[in-house]
Amino acid sequence: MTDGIMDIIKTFLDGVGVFFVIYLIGYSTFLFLAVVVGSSSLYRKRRQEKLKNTLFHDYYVPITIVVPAYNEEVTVVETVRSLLALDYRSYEIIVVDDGSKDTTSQKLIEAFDMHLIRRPIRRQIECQPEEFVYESTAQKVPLTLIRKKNGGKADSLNMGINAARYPYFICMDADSVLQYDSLQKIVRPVLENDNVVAVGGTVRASNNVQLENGRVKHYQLPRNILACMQVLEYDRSFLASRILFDKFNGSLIISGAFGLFKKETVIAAGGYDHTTMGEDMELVVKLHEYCVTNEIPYLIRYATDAICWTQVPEKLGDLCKQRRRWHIGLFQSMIKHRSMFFNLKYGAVSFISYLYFLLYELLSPFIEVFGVLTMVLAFAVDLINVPFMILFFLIYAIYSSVLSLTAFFARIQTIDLKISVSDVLKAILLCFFEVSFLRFVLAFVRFTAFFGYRKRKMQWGRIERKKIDLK
Amino acid sequence: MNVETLIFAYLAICTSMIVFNCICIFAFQHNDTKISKKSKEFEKKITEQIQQMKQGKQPDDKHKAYLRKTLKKTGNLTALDETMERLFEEDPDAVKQYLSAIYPVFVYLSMEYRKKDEIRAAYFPYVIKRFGILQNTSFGIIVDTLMELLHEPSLYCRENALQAIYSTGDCDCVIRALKIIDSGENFHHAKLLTDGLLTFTGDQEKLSEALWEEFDHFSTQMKVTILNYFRFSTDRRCEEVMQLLSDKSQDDEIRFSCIRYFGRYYYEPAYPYLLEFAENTQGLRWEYSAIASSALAIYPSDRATEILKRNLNSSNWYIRFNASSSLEEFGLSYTDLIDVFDGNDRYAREILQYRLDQKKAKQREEKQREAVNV
Repeated sequence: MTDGIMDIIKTFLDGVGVFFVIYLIGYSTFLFLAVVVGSSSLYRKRRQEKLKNTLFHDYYVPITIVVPAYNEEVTVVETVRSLLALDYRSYEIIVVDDGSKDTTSQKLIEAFDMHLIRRPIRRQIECQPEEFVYESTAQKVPLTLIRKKNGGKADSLNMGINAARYPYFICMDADSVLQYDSLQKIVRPVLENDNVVAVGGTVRASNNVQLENGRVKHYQLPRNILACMQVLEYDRSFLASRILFDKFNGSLIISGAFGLFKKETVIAAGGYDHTTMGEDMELVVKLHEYCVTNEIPYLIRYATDAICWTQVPEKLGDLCKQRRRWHIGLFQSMIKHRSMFFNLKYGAVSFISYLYFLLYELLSPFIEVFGVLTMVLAFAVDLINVPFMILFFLIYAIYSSVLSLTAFFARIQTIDLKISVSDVLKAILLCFFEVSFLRFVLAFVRFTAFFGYRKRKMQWGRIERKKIDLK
Repeated sequence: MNVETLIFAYLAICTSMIVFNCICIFAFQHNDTKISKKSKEFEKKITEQIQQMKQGKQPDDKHKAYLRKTLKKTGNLTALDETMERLFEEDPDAVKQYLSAIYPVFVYLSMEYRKKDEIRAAYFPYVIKRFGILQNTSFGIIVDTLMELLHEPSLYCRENALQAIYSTGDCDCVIRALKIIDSGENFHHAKLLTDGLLTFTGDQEKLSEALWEEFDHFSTQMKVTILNYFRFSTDRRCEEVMQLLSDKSQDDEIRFSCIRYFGRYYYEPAYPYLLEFAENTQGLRWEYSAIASSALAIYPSDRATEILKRNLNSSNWYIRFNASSSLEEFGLSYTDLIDVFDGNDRYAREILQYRLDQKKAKQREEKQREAVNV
């Protein structure tokens, strides 16, 4: 190889090196701040609970729970049962069957003795027409089933919002279980500040967790290794980064599995976008845009103690499917609301949240794959210091593992969960595996997410469902 | 500074966070043990004092001094909370007498807790309410501390202080507190205030009278809160509420609240107003018609039926919805409503049909329940 080409490669590799140093310092600093802020917030929360800094209030704000369901015959009845057991006074449940091909609607009608009714629904947001409506007033709270033409999850949520009677609504998944006190906890930010338009709840993996009437009867890390690693990953993202974003009203995501929204604002902003895959993120970004553009004072909050238990995928194929979907959703939301990029009007949301999601979520798989290819090139031209590379990787892996563990332990001890010694050891071992293996697999999956996404973009993200262990 | 140093520095801090977590686990466990030990110590000492009181003596000064010293620590106050819960179950009257006898200790503590951070400060009014310290006593310094806590930015601090103030059963204290909240810059949800007022342990009638006397001195938002409290607590404020309803210069929100009041309590003089609002010939905000259509549910008459039937054709969803609900409340049959079903307005038909279907379903469900009970 001529000296000229070698010089060009050297300059290129130097440039790449500088880029990665800056990139990783940025990421390490973000993770570090996120975990420190997240952990200290959790300790403060625990202290508040112990010293009765809480609301002893029985009435709260009336809430509509919207449960979009598609082919959920295995879990839907148990999900509704668990919702009926919630410790809250004023709420209604609306299940929207999105043209299921199985017996989702029949199961509900039979289980809750529902009756057919000709109920007019006020169309404030566009959605597919309803086929029939069933109601039951024999339960603790009003229960409604709306069966509509298939239109996707976002479309079902829009139907639920149209039919909602109350000023706030909760969106959740049909395979999730809300903890008994989750409504009290998620509504608290609304009572604290009138400008709150949305509140995100905390999603936790329910695999291997025994729940009784929405209470944790027995907590144990999942037996399945993949699910177990996701527990660590969820802790890191929910209890660390989301708390940090919450500090400056910068949350860009409220999980579709559990979130509370002010109906009036969501309707004014146009409801869920059924053309995107990540309707949950898109709505939150849209709310930022809508409120800022219309100069409406607003807050999007995160409730660390409002808990929803959900099944995480136990098969790698299911996990890949889920992550591809999430990544395309992220891409669509960011492209659609690109006006937020480096826009002073949005302040920290633009310069911290949007930038973080762009660099460390959306582009990260490309950057990581580019890094690997650069390493291959450097190795080929013998310009790599292998021992240093291994040391650097080890430091990175240990650093990320320590952060995951910090988030995990902070969560466990601040909510008074008791875990066994074997679970502690399992967490320590698996966190290293998660950052050094699973992370790269998922980076590759996200990298390939765009191949053939047009074909799948209107489909419900399906993963294998198991009956929820509710005793 | 090179990159490795920075990463190592982060790593060191994170490792110390793990160590901190581990220490916390032990500290929390140790703390729980300490509290439960302290609680047992309190139990022994307090039981001795209660026994002494049963023999006609008062708690001795040494005991009070001990309480003053130990209860300054928030952890010890939580231990006392545990102790009192146990003792109260055994002999509530004796515990009440004991708490009343050690009232000066709480006066001292109120000054101490006022100096603490907002989380600790918020715990003090919680204890005051829980132990019923302000019941049947003269207030003074403790209430002054509670009033000061109402200026705190922490909602929990303010709410706990308010709860303690409601537990005094004293109208003047409550009004003083509401004025502080009203003039403060911190947002306090109206729902919390209304529901809080409903927990007032004194005479609710006297409180509503006192609130009315001071009504003009409150902001519009607080006036609405007070009217909501009237709505859920008493039917004896009809005249006063009527005065507000008929006063066109009042804020719309206040008049909406008044209409809701008369939707809960039947009051003949309000009827023509409700009809007028429901009909809305004066081009007022649509909310007047919607709320009045709902309020008319307890004023069945031909005129009301006529207006409500007309409101079923309104272009506003809420007016149609509320009108149909009231018509259902009137107990009208299909024949009585035939003109609506035969009419051209599909929306009116649909909403009314839904109400009648709902009524039938409810009746069917009730019958089924009765059959099951038999």
